[in-house]
Amino acid sequence: MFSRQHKRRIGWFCLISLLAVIVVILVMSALRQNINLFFTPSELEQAQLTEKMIIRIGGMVVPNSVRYLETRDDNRIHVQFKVRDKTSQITVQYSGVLPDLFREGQSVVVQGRWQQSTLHAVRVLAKHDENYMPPEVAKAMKENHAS
Amino acid sequence: MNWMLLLSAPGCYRFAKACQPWSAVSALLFLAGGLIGGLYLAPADYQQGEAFRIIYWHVPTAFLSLMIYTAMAISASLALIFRIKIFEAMVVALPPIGAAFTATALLSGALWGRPMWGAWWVWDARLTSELVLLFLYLGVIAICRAIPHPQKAMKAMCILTLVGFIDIPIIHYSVSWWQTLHQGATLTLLSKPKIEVSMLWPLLMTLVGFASYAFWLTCLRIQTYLARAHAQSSWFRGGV
Repeated sequence: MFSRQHKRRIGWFCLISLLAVIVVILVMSALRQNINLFFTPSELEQAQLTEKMIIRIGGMVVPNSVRYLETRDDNRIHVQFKVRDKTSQITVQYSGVLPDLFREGQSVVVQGRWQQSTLHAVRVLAKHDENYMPPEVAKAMKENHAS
Repeated sequence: MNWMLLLSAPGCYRFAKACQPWSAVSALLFLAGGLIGGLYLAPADYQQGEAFRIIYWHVPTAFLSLMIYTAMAISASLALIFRIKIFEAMVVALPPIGAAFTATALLSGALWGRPMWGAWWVWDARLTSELVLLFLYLGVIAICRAIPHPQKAMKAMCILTLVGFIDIPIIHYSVSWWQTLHQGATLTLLSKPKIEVSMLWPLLMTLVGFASYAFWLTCLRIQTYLARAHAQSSWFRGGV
């Protein structure tokens, strides 16, 4: 069906594609850790960090951990909360406006410096999951879950 | 109908011309229906409120930015191996359309990210790989414009397209391979959609609408490309 020329071109095509795929897989596995957007709190315990490094931590805001600190004279909102994953949790301090989706039990990514066992955040990002539903359905599901 | 005829320039020209009215009507109807359904009839989301409605723009354009590149890569491999003119026409026709879809996906995502995440842009794996896709499209367009010799230009475009194709699975799986801020897939082929039916049907409609729109533009660009390439041919001058 294929002429000799076509067969030769298909051979080259497959060889070069294969090489390109191998190169990309090697590069990606080498960069594995750097591609992740954030550490989890339990990964943080093993990480070697200096106080100058800016890091991102991702996890769930621990329910009932959000506390608004006394307003100082600088007209900014100061808030403290805890972020956890399955095994460990950390304390975060932040001054500024929180995103709309920020709430207790929500996944967040906080960016800042790790000093004296507290993350001094300069930025708080809320993470959304892949579920979409109307409020009534969400309420019904919650009630089902509770009963 | 003889399908092999589609591979010839006159056959493809006529096909591209005949498809345009249908795809245009389909695009208008499905986009109108989907946008009315999505922006007025669908309920607001339990967490995101009204802002979730950007999904009706963002998801179809992002999905098509990947599909158009896939079509381009298949065409590029056939053009490179078998030197079939119609697939060369596809490699020239598709990049600007794909670039436009990628840009709108990135822009709509940024508009949603600001109120929801709290940031216009984050360098996470999904967003970065999608930005790379935009640069790939722009790169193919740039090569097309920069190399005056048509055959050399075509070869370079095909090779860049094929090498860049590795970005497509990376974009698709980025949210499951790495920790990202971008959420995982809501619609997957094999599992139940993670979106309520009342919110899902307008999304499927805009998806069909945008796909028809992309197909319409592709037919138009292929027709133009063939008309330009064959302006002196007897079949073209004889009227089609």
